[in-house]
Amino acid sequence: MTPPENNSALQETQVFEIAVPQRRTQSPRRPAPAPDRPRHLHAVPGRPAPGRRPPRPLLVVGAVVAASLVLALAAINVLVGQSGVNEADIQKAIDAKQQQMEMLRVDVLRLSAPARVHQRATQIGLIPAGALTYLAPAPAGAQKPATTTSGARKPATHTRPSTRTPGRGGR
Amino acid sequence: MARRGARPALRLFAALAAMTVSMVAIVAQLIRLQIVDAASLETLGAKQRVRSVTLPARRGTIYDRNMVPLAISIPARALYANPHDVVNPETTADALSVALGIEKGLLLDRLTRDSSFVYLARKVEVPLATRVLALNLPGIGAFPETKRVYPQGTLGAQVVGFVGTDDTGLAGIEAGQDSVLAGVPGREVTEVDPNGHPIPHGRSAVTRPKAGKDVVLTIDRNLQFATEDALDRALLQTGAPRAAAVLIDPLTGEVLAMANRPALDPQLFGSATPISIRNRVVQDAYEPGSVNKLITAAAAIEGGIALPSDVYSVPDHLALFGKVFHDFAPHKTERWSYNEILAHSSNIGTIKVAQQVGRSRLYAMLRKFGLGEPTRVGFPGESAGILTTPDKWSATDMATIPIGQGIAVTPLQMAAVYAAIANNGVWTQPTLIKRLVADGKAQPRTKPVSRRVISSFTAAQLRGMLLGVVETGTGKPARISGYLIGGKTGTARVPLANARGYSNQVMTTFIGIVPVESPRLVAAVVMDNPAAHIAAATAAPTWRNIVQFALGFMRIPPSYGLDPADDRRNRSGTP
Repeated sequence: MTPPENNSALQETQVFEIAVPQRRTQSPRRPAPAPDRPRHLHAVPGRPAPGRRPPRPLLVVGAVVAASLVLALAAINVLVGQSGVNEADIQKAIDAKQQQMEMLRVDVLRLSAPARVHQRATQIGLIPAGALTYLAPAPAGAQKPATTTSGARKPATHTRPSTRTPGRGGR
Repeated sequence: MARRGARPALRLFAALAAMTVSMVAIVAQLIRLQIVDAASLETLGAKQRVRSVTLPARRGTIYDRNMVPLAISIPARALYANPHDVVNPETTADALSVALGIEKGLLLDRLTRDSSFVYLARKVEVPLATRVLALNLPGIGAFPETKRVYPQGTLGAQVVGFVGTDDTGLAGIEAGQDSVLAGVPGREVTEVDPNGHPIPHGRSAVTRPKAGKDVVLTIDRNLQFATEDALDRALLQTGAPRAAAVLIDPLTGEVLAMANRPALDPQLFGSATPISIRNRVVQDAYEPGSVNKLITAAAAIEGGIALPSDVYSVPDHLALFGKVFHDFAPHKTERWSYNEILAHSSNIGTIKVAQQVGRSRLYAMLRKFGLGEPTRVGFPGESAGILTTPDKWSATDMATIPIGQGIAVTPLQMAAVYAAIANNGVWTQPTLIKRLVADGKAQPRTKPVSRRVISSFTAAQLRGMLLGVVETGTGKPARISGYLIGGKTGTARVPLANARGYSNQVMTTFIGIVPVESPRLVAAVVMDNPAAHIAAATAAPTWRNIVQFALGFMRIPPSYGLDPADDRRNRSGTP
C-alpha cells in the first residue's frame, strides 16, 4: 500500500489545512520537540477504516503454512489410525487363519489315526500284506556270497507268513 | 469505642478458630483416608472397579516318539453373559438354546442372575461361538480359551490320560506331568464401571500367559495300535474281560507300547468305568505266577547253586510245611534238568531249587530286580507291588514266592526283569517320557537309572533256558517263524478280595524276549481270567500276534545262522 503523502495527483487536487491540537507538555528529561508545522493531509476515497491494519504478506503465508501443517497432521493422524485399523484387521485375519489351521490339523490327525485307517482299509477290502522274505547273509567261509542274481547259490531265506489284519500298514 | 473495637477481633478469632478446627478435621480425615485406612480403602475400591481375568496358558502337547500329537489343545471360546446388559432374557435364552443346544431353563436362570458375569458355555468350538456372537444379542460375549482334544481317539488313552473342564490333568500323563504341561497363566486387569463396561482410559494391564512344555513319550502310535488291536481280538477269542500289554526296548528301557483293555475314550471319561481308566500295566499289582520262576533261577545260577544242565528228581507233588504242592499237570517222577524244569514250568522242581537258594538270597535277587518298589517310569500312581521282608515270610512262603504266588508285581516290573536279562544282566529303569520340549527346544533329561543285577554269564544262561521254554516247553504257542524267542508263561490264581485264600479266577501272563540271541524287544501280556485257564492258550498267542507285527514294523531281522532248510524253523507259529 502506497502512503498518501506520496500520491502527487491527490496533492494537487485536494489540499486541506487542519488544525492540529497542541501536544501535551513533554517530560523535562526529553528534548524539546520541534515547533509544530501545519500538515497537508489528503482524504482518500475508499480508504480503510481507521484502526484496521492491512494484512501483511508474512502473516498470510504463516497462516497458510500453519493451516497446511494442521491439515497435514490431521491427515497423518487419520492415516496412522487407518493403518492401525488395517493392522488390527490383518492380525484378526491371521488369528482366524491360524485357528482354522489348528482345526484342520486336528482333522488331519483324526483322519490319519491308525484306528481309522484300519477301519477304512477293511471297508474298502484291502487284504493283509504278503509274507516277508529276508535274505540271509552268506555263512562265513562260503566260497561265493549269497546273492539273488548269481544263481550259483540260492540265498537262504526265512519266510514269515503274515497274519496281519488288513490295512495295518507294513511294507 | 474499645468494646466496638473488640468485636471484630473476637469475630476474627472465632472465625480463625472455626477454620482451624475445620482444617484440623480435614487433615485428620485426610490422614485417615490416605494413610491409616489407605490400604483397605484401595483394596475396596479396586474390588469395585477392577476386573481381573485369567488368561489361560496354552497347554503343552503330548506327542508319541515320532512327534505325532496324542493330546493337543485347540482354540475354543467361553461364552458368557452380563445379565445387567441382557435386554430380554426370554428371547435371549430362546436364541441361545437353539444355537448351543442347552436347555432354555438353565440359560434363563443364568441370564437373570444379579451378577455382571455368568458362564453360558465352555469349550465351545470357534465356528459355533462365531455364529452365536453373530446373533448380536445384547449382553452376550465370548473370550478365548482352549479345548483339549485327543485326535487318536482311544489310542493309549490310559497312558495319555485326560483333563477336566479347567484343563487340569486328572489322569495319566496329563495328571503326572500337569505342572509341566500347564504353563503359567496370564492375567488381564481392567477398570470397569458398575455395569461391567471398561472405563475409557482406565487402568489396563495384560500379563501374557506362558505356554506349557510339550511332552514327548517313548510310545510309538503304530505299535500301540497293533498292541491294542491284538488285545481286542484276544478279549473276543478268550472271553477275558480285561487285558494289558507292554513293549520295552531292553537296551534303553523305553516303553514302546503300553496298552490296556477295555478301551477308554478320553473325551468321554465322565461315563467311563473305573477299571477302564486304570493303566493296569503300572497301577495294578498281581501275583505273577510262573514268570517269577526266572528270578529264582537267576538267584540259583548267580549264587553258583545250580546250572541249567543240573538234573533233579521231580515228582508231581511235594509235601512241605504241612502243605502239599503240585505241578500243573500230573506226571510220574521225572529226572529233569533245570532247563527242563523251567520248560515244563514245574512248581516242584523250582521249589526244590529254591530250598537250596535260601530265603535271604532269593529276597535279595527279587529286590535287585526292582520288585517291591516302583520303577519310577514317570507315571502317576505307580504301584510298588507287594514284597515283604524275609523275616515276615511264613514257612510256606519259601515255597510259594519262588513260583510267583505270595508276592505281587506290576506287569511293567516283571517286563523290566526280563528286559534286564535281555540286556545282559543290566536292569534299566523303564521310561515313558522321552523328552520335554519348551519353545521348540528339547530340555535336558536325566539319564535313566541302570544297574547290574546279574552277571552276563547268568543272563546268557537264563536266555538259553527261556529259549527252551518256547522251543520245547509251555511257550510253544509264542513261536514266530524265523526268530528265536525266549519266553515264559505264567498262570496264577487270584487271591480273594476280603479273605484268605484264592478264588477260581486266574491271571495268565506271557513275557518274552526277541530275538533271544540279540534282544531287541521285550513284551509282556497279562490277561484277566480268560475262559481257558492256561497262559499257553491265551497270553502266549496274543503275545505272538503283537510281536509279529512289531518285528516287521521295527525292521528286526530274523535270527540268522539258523538253517533255513530246517523245517522246525519255518513252521507256523501256531502250536
